[in-house]
Amino acid sequence: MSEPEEPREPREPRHACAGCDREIEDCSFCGERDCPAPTCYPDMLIALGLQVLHPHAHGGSSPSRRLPAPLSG
Amino acid sequence: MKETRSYMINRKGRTHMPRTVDRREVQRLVEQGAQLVEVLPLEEYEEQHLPSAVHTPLRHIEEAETSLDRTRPVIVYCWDSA
Amino acid sequence: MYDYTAGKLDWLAAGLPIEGEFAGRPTAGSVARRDVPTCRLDEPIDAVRERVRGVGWDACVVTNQEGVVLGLLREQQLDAPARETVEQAMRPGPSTFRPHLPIAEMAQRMREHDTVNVPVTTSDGRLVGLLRREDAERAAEELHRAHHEHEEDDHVGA
Repeated sequence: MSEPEEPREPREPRHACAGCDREIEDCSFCGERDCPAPTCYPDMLIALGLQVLHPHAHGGSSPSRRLPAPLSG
Repeated sequence: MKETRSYMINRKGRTHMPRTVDRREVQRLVEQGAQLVEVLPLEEYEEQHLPSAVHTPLRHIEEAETSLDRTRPVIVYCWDSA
Repeated sequence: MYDYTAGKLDWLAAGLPIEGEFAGRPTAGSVARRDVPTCRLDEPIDAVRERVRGVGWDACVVTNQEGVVLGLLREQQLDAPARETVEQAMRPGPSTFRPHLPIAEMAQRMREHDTVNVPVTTSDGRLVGLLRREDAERAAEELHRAHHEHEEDDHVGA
């Protein structure tokens, strides 16, 4: 006689960054889980010019010269 | 600024060790007459720079030293430490 | 010879003055409201609620004695049960933004994320003010209009 299957807990829907699809807890910009445009922390830093995607070889040019396209909503 | 530091250390075979300073020391030194030099591209300098800073591209920093007041300390800076 | 290794970004993030073309442009720091109410962790939420709404605000920033931001009270948190303290009711560790960030960028992000307000702090976490979305959007619109008029003047003069 086979063992009855244990009831499976329903899986929570995966919450991901709208830009790179990285799994996140909540939006790094607003802190909300139900944000219309959830953003992971690295993407937020890049979008706001606080971090560069590819550091300049010279080691200093400002990131505004090399920002990717703004994240879409 | 890694290139800046390497350049200064190897220039003419002599060792020049620029001392790292933080923001508060920069303010203190400037109050005492230090000269600020930004080594970013000119367009970025013109957009925004520290008050009273002059501009010198990194590749011309050696020539710039001759035009700066040698009796006053010089503080060079870039965008960040990357 | 000295090397300010932290660089211009560090200077800007501290909210210190600059020279150049961007000197007069609106930023998160220049548009943020400095008169935002503040409170401490151990205050009772009902007292804070009364004080905040009494001065016509709907938000309050939680800081320590040094002015470092610890949390945020928006409408929902201000409506917490009276028996709670600020520490129990607040949103801890909110995302904060540096003073030098361009206002157009901030307005766009706040619109995309449907954010009502965000704290603006220096790089060491001290409160500069609270940036409200309506203020950010208004400043961004004014900047856009001024830029547009400037471009039209250039075109006419050409």
